[in-house]
Amino acid sequence: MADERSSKVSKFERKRSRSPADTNSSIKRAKVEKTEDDGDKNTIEHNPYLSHWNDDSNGYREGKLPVGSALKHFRRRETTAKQASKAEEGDNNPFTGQPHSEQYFSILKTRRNLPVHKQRQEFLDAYQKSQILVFVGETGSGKTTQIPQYVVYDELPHLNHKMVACTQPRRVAAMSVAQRVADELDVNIGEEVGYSIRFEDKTSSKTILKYMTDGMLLREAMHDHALSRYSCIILDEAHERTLATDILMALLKGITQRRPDLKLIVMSATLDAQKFQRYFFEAPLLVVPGRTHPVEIFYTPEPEKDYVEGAIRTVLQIHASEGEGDILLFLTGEEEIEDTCRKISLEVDELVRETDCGPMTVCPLYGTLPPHQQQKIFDPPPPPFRKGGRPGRKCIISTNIAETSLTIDGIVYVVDPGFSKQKIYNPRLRVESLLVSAISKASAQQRAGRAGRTKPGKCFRLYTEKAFKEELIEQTYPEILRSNLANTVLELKKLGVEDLVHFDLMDPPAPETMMRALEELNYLACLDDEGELTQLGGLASEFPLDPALAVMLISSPEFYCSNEILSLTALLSVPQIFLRPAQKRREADEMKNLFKHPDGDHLTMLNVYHAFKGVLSRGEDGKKWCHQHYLSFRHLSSADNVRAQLKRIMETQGLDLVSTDFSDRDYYTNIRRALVAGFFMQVAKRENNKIYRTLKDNNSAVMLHPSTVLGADYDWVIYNEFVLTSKQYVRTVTGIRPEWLLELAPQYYDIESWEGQKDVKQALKAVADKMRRRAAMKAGR
Amino acid sequence: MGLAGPRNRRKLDYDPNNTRWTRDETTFGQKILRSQGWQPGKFLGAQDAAHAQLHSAASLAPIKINLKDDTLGLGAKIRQKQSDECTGLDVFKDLLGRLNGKSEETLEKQRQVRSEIKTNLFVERRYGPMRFVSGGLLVGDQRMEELVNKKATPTPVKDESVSEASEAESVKKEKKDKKEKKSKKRKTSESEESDTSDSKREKKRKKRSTAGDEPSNGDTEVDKSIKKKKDKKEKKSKRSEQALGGENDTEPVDSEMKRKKSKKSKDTPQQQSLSNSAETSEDGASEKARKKEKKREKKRKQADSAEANEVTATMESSTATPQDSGSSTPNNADASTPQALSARHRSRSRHIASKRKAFGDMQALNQIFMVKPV
Repeated sequence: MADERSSKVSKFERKRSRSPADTNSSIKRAKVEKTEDDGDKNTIEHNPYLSHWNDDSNGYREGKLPVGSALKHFRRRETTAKQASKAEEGDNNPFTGQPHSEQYFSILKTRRNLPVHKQRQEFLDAYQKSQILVFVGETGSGKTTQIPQYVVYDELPHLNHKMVACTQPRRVAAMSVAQRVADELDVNIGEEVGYSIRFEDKTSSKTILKYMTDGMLLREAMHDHALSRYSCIILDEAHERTLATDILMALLKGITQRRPDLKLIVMSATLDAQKFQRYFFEAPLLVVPGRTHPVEIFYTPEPEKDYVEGAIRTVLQIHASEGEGDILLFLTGEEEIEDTCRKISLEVDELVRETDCGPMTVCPLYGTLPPHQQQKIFDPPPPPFRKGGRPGRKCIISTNIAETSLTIDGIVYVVDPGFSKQKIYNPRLRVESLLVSAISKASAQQRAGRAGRTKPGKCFRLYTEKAFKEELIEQTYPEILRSNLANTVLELKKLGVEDLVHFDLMDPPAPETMMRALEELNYLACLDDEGELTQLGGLASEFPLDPALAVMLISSPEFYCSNEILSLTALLSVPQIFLRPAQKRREADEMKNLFKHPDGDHLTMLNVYHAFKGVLSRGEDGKKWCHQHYLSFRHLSSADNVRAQLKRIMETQGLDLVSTDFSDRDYYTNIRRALVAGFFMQVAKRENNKIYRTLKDNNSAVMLHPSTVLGADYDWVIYNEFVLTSKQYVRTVTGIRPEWLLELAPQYYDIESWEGQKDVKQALKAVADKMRRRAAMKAGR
Repeated sequence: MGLAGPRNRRKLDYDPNNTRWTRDETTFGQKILRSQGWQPGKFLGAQDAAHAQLHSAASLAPIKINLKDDTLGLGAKIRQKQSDECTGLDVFKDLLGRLNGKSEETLEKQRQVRSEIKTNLFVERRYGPMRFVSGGLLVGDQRMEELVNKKATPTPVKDESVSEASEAESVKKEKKDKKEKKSKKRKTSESEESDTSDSKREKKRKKRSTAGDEPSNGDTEVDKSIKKKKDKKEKKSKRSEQALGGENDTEPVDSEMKRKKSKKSKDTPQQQSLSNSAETSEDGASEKARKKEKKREKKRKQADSAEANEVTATMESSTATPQDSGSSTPNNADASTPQALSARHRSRSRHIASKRKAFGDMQALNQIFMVKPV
């Protein structure tokens, strides 16, 4: 292994020495391809995700233990729960050698009370006997925090240089769980216990237990096909079936066969573990009951006319007539949640004024909520107004985040209208959208289960029992069946999966979805006509971005605007930066107009970003400035962070960061052209006054989203997002010229093979003729 | 929704599902997949995988879901509008009634019933139902009531009124699930759930001035089912009463007057006709009390009628408000059957007469043969 590494280093050196010459050469895709010639192995040195591969500064890599460590007599994969308990109770930390803190012992006490602790020995027996283990534990059983620690005590990762990894579907979960476990092990976060999420890596050479998002482990697998840094991989929350988890399961299924020393634990919170077992060669199953109480379920006698109104009424009725305990209400989206929060608060005020009801705080919970506001859900409920008065309670209104993984104590009542927002992808029309649809039976049961965490609870379903039985599907579809797979296919190619047809996924996607993904990658020149990964494709897979965005970013140096496109890419990968509060739409739009660029929203966003950076560099209060201008400080700052990360990748990949001079009249034109280079598949042409029609496969009549700044000056626009509601909109649009389409994406806009949309074909033909005439004139001169 | 559904015009594009792309075998994606051994109609994924039988249909074709942009609850159907009802059906029914030999007055009454239903339906949909519970009678009115009852004299009625009543009954049957209570004088709101068939509770309720206890959802459910049962009982008891009172019904107009004066809290027409037929020649007060009792409890129907006088103060008033548009189609066949044998000849001649009359009516004929007026 040492030899291999040194050879890699030498290759790396070679490449380094050559790079100055490269920077002088013209910036073309061809150049990008050249740097890729060396294969992907040498890029490990460059890869920020694998930055501590060569870092051997600490003794851990040599297999040293602190003097007098309780782990001295442990034999790897032969330990018992008794031994481990004893080691945990020692005065000194077995991993660092430092004495344990007071806090450690108090936490240890609570840890011992977790349901999973009782089965530690049973777990170790099963773990040591089998390579793959399926573990089912309800949320709150302590599996996410405890199992990885049990594994660490058995695996002794510091002795053999190999880590234990635990994946989480959500970034927030990875961060918070890592913090908790670091406290439990009495170590500093980022040292023995670390986490790694997109755009943030908090690990070091000391790290023996690493929490990470499933997507990050997948990215690591791209460079290290055998995941050789790990001795045990724990896939947590596997029941959520995220795209990355599904791919990882398929990959690990193969890797475990090649690497008998690698152990795999699949953890799920629901009891459909049979599917996991069947998939992983009938792996043994271990079940830990959660600490749950009975939950009584109520249905409505007849369907609700309006589920939001019904939910509000139910919450108020619970507050007025039910005993102590918090309420959890599931709704679909941010807007609906905020709206309902307001309505319930008003009604509760009224209720409190009129009757002797206790106080109730209402807190929203959704993904894009700022963390400090998310934290509110963990606050204790308000005290009663007077001593001996009716107790106060808390009402949490949440999206389906609160369905699994998030553990909120004190919930006794759950109100479930039966809907959630779900991603759906239509490969025929190439539209991916978030739509409100009915949940599954499994989801409904999960939701009801939230009520029985602290004491017997009640779940009020705002639908009939008949609807539950007849209208709900059994299981929620895994993400892989609901997403655009372009990015996934690119990743699979990079992971070395050649045979996409027979790749052993738990739920293979629809063939049409796969076809569409291949096609898109082919048009983006990430795959060649034989379906092999091109250099551009290989480079694009280095970026944790959608292929279209990655291609746009990679080709931006050709247009002398990579700095700007880099900012724009970062802005497009965070949630909407413009705020448009319902009551202050007009003011918000006025403020947006300050940054307005007549050519479109992308350029307007860029103006905002530049202004934001200007404010920060002048040392002014960015938060205040954002508030004044109806901008999201959080999203702008996170865009800034994303930009820095992407910049690092660009630098390591040898992509130049250039800008056209701002005074040049082509400054904005170049940016628009670069946009076309990535988004040529998302173009709409004007049909009549306000109606545009998207081109090719999508072929639907759309309107520009009301938030756009673009006037009706352009017949051709590119858009970032296709919004599907009762009306169809395109959002974040910028005007372009049809010549660019023919010039930059001749394969996609091939007039000869154009089918359907005759008027578009004619228009393109006219443009092509014009271009030819102009070229002829130039040549003649 | 069929023909009666709201018309929703939508322009569909040519090939909105882009099946052309799906069928096209020359696309890059199909080419690659086929070259790797995929065939149309087959799953992707490992060959002969152990878990393959657990694959869902979504692995074969993309998931389709309906766009939802309203807040309609799960399982609820799109709100029915007024216009959903078949127009002209009532006129057609009039015509059929005439053909079946009903008199003009009966038809007129039916028409009134229908228009009342329609109005109530509209008000309820538009403004939402208000639920009330009876709070007993105003003390001063009791003597008036007694006076009126003495005046009432029984007179025989045509058999139509019986059939009419049973018709209204069938109407009522259909919407028993949601009942609305109204009292004319006093309006004390109380949840409808609080009344049960328990007679003890009934007495308690009498004493309660305002019962603000809104039961929890769970209770609501139970109560509703009880209520449903109770409604059925009620219906049965009324039926039997009709059979009883069929021979000596009071005159409708008279009884109606009486009803008004007695502040009986009834306001939908079906209920009126019901009370018409149900009125017997017995002592008015005791009869009324008995009827009320029956509504509560079937078993105590007759035996308690004497004691029940005290209970008069509590007014049980279960007036149904129409719920679905279907309620406006009563059972006609039912209405024409209970003809007395002795009156056969008479009714037959009337049939013939009315048929003749109907055929003379051009407008009616047009409707029968669905000829559009020019």
